[in-house]
Amino acid sequence: MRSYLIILIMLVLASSCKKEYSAPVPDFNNWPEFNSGSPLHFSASQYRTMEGVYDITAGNTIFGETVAVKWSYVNTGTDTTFHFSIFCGKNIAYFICEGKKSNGDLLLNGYWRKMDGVETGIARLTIKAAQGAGFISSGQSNPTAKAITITGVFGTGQALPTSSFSCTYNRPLFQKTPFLILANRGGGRNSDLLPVSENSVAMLRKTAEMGGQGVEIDIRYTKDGVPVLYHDATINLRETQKSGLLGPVENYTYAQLSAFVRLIHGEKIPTVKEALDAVLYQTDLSFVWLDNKVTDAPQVSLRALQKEYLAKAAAAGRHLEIVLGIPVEPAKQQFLALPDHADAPSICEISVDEAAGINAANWAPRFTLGIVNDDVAKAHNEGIRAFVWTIDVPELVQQYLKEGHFDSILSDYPSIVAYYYYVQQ
Amino acid sequence: MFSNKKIAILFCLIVLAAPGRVHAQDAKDTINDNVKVKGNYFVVLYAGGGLFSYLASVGPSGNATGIDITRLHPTGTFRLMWHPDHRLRLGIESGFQELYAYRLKDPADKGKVLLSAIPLMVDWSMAVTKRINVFAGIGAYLLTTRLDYNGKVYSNYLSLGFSAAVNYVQPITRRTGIGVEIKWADATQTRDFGVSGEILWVWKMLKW
Repeated sequence: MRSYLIILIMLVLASSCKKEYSAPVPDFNNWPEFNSGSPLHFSASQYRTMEGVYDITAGNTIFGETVAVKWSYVNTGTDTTFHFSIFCGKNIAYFICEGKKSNGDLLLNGYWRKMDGVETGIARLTIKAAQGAGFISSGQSNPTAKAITITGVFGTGQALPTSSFSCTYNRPLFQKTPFLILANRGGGRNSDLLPVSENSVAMLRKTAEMGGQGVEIDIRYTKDGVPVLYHDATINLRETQKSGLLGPVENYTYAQLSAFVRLIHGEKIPTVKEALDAVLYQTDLSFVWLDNKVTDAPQVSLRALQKEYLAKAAAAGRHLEIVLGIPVEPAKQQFLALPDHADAPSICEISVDEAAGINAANWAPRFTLGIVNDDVAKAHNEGIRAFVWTIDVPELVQQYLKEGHFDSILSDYPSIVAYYYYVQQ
Repeated sequence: MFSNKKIAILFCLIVLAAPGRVHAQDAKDTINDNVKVKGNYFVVLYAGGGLFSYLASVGPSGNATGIDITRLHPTGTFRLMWHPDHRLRLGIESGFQELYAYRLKDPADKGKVLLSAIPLMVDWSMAVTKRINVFAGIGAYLLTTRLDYNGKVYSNYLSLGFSAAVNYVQPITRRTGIGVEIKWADATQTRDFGVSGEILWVWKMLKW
């Protein structure tokens, strides 16, 4: 009898002890009306007309009372894809959709995701001709009565969406100039079950969809000195697929990593050059924080890439800042060893005084230091901007935005920073 | 597909549900004769060798030409157990396991990878019958990558790991025996487990 009881208990444990989490993006390409629609071909001002703070009238139990609506784009060679994002104040939720026109309506097809869990589903939204699509399509950039209503349905997982969603335009997005929403690890972390890998080129392309205006990327060096995007000190299963290659990144050459190692969603480990190329030519991101994880490594190669891509950005007429991260004293010494360090844009984490001492235009305090407005004021007096990192708790994001005087917040959840920033009045 | 944890629990299940008697007083039983004899303490060495197979898929995705995987590899176990005068025993285990190897299929882009491990385990063991013993180990695996592609790389990584084994030992003298063992081994940084079959030599090194 005792043996059977043990067997029963162990079977219960065996069937309950492991749960694997995933949040796969649902396949949302089965909306016939959307598929037969025509591309938007809008001007930038037409896209901007739709942006704003909206009041939710259906779906607020999941997405909150208000949302911020924003468009972004990625440029993939000859094609540019625009994404319609809705940043929600509840459950760190967001929508990401693509747009088309159909019978005078604007159709927005995509998915939604709650970042504080794994819930996701298909979203099919519409701006009807009489509810804003008419004047948006006609190109009225500043209509006197901007009465836009977005209606539609959302579902759970791969199921056809049936739950109602609607929201109505309330006011423009808040814009304090300058303020930067920075996304950590190229846009987001692997632990948040995003559809692309952290510190990948694919993630850089998604950053703006999720609210980021700039990125922090983590940099390590291969055995042959190639700077690559990789966070941890070792090749491991948190960041890469099972390849048999383990141990320190610097044990392997770039050719070896490129041939054998893939990030968890199958991407190659990108070089910093590939990442900067993607940022410059494929996104509208305006800030790149090169966070050097090997703090005692010479920064000559990073500085060369920084100069190269700042020059390319200037030639392309793009506003793009690329800054060398200086987290600790050894990194500062390596920075000062650069022959042209006085001209190298940088972001110093050590202190305001240290930032001023090395002519850094940016100071980056850790959020656990608190809302250090006195230090922020001191930095501003020196002409130094203050970037606080890394805030992921929605209430803290709200508090730091409301009470702090920072110039930027770095977060793993740029959508929640975007929401709290844009809905300010 | 069973997860590693499920397999570990099912293994424990078999152990716990096994017959509760051990025939300890058999004079020919060289390994388990301490049980139920007060004051008998042994140190027993288990040394074994055999084949290990890593059952799960291997290699990165996105490789256009694919890979050739070798799944059967040599393995060896060295285990030192303290057998007190009760059923639960304690000891340490090490050895060597080649986990898996693969090579790129592309003839123009030759390269191969071999992943091996040295287990560093604390083992618990119990005699479930006169000849059959079960083992459970927890500790670490010192994983070593041997990469041969545009140069050779030897790279180490310390991973948390587990093992579980069941063996049958037949005494051949009062102090030695031979046996067979099936072992399940899981280094967390290899994500999936492997199993091995080994021939054992058992030696009661010390008695007091």
